[in-house]
Amino acid sequence: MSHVSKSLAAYQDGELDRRAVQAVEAHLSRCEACRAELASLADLSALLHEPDPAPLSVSDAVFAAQVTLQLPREETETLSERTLAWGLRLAPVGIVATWAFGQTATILALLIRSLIAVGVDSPALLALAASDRPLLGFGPGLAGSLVGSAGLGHVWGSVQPVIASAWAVLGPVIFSGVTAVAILSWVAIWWTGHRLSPVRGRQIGRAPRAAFDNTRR
Amino acid sequence: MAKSAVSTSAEHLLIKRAQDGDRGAFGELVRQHRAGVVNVVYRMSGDAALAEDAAQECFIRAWENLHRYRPRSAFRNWLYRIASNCALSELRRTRPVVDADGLQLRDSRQSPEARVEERERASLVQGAVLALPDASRSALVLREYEGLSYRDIAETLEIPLGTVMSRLNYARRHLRSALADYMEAVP
Repeated sequence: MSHVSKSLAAYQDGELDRRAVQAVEAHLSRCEACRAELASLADLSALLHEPDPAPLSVSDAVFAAQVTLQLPREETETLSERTLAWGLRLAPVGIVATWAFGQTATILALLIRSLIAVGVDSPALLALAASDRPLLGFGPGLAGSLVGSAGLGHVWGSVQPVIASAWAVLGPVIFSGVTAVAILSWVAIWWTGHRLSPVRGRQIGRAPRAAFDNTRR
Repeated sequence: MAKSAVSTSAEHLLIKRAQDGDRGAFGELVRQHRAGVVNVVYRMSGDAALAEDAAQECFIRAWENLHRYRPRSAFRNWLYRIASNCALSELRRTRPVVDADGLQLRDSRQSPEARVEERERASLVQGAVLALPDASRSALVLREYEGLSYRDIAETLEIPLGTVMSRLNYARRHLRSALADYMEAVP
């Protein structure tokens, strides 16, 4: 006769299905040794419960209040911190908008110049191109004004074509480079701030994340 | 008696509010689970004085990690896992010592001799439980003292069902051997 020792604990714990329960009970009815073992398990369970649960020193409400008072609080942001945070969030929008405006202006300027070059002599286009300085861009235009006001207009007249050509090539490159540096700087600032900021549910050092994570299976 | 493993919708609501930062809702969850958590820590560590402090620490850890809880498993099981880890952390810091004077005995109307004898027996029981390996003790505590089903123990300790059974069998076999002299004295 094979004993059912391995199933007795599960039987006592009520963890067997109906068929297994019937099998164990059928065996117990004719096996003195297994009945004694089952009784021994019951004795052990009773013995384990002799020391009562730990005494509770305060009521549940007081205990809950004590715990609640110890819960770490989220740090509240001041108005200036909030403003700075919003400014940081909006910064990339401003950078991209500036870049888009610059690109559009450059393309429009090239278009106007091309139309005039192919003989389109609309008064509106001619008005837009009345001065070559705006078409040169802000930098050389401002430089020309300053040099002219210093009484060196004849010098400016000789170097102006060279500067205009160089600016036409380098201007967009410099502008795009500055935009890229600004975007990368923003990403670096955001990443650093994100890593250092006290986020809710911060990881505590005493136990690994796995100890709290019930999403893994 | 252990509560149902399935969290009620009211409890889900409290958990959701607590996850949104409602400290009052979390306080209500603490009230509901305080006794079980204290008991798990006490049975795991054997130190009544430590149990409430460690339980508070457990709830604070739970609050800090509440956003990681997902309702696919019972909240109680998730809490007991943290409680079990808290108790084991404490045990690693301090050697487990059975506090015989701190043991709570059932019948306070016994004679002094009977009380001494019962206290001695309770102390031995507690010592035998503490002498079990952590893994077996965790399973035993959750089953014997909190009445968790094998499935809930498996979920709490993140082990297969078969491992729960083998750990419980191991723990009971060793306890029966360690406490053989006292088994027959159980009233």
